Amino acid sequence: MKVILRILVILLVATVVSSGVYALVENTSLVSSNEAERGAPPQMTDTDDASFQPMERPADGDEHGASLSRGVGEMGVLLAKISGITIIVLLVQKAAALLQNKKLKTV
Amino acid sequence: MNASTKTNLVLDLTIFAAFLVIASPALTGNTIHEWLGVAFGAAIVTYLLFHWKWLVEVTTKFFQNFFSQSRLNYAVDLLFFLAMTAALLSGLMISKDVMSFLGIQLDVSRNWKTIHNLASDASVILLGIHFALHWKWLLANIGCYIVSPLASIFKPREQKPVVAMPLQTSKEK
Repeated sequence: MKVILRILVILLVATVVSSGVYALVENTSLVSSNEAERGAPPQMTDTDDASFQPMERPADGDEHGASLSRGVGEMGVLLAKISGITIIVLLVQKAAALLQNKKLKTV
Repeated sequence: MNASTKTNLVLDLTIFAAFLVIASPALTGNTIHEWLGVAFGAAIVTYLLFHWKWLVEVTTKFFQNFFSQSRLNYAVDLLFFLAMTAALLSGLMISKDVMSFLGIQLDVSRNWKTIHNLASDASVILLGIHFALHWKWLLANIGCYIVSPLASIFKPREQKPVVAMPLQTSKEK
């Protein structure tokens, strides 16, 4: 019972956040009008739609298909980004600790 | 829900692995990327349930000791939650497979794609900061629960030294 209540609280907070994001996105223009004109909004066409034409997937994968080599590369870049950010924050923390120690020594 | 350190470590590593896979849509393809994103929402809820006690404690005492490490952790985690919620929502808005599976057709603005990219980038940055803030904990527990047990498997077992025992004859008895 307790856990269910907690889940409901988390979902409620997520709903509030989602509503805020939705209101923000729908009431502001993040894309310039020219850009919006060029690209049509994503269309949710059904498979039984007459205009639907299945695309042949290239061997190395396309925008929506899976490709092991491209995927592993993407994951490597992502890991490198996270590692880079972690190292930068650790260095900043170290520098801050050193500065604090120096200040304490001078006082 | 009280979780041991080992459970927390396993949960953290699993969620991190899932995040890496979700954030690389080229690896899985669009359909799996979308469904994994939905499942990741459940993983976040589980993560929050496991850290509920800490969450309530820091939330209720947030302004009492504002400039402390746990407040920074809390702020980073809160921002990560916001970024992930935004990423999940925008992902659902631009999704092709999940929404069509649910029979929902949306005519949404292109802003959602921008929001999805922004929220995903923000969550990567926040995850890096989260790692840095929990670096010592991570290193200590990975060493304790993963590296040490693995090392003990490959470590040659120490053989007990053979001690010569004098033979007892029937006369001595």
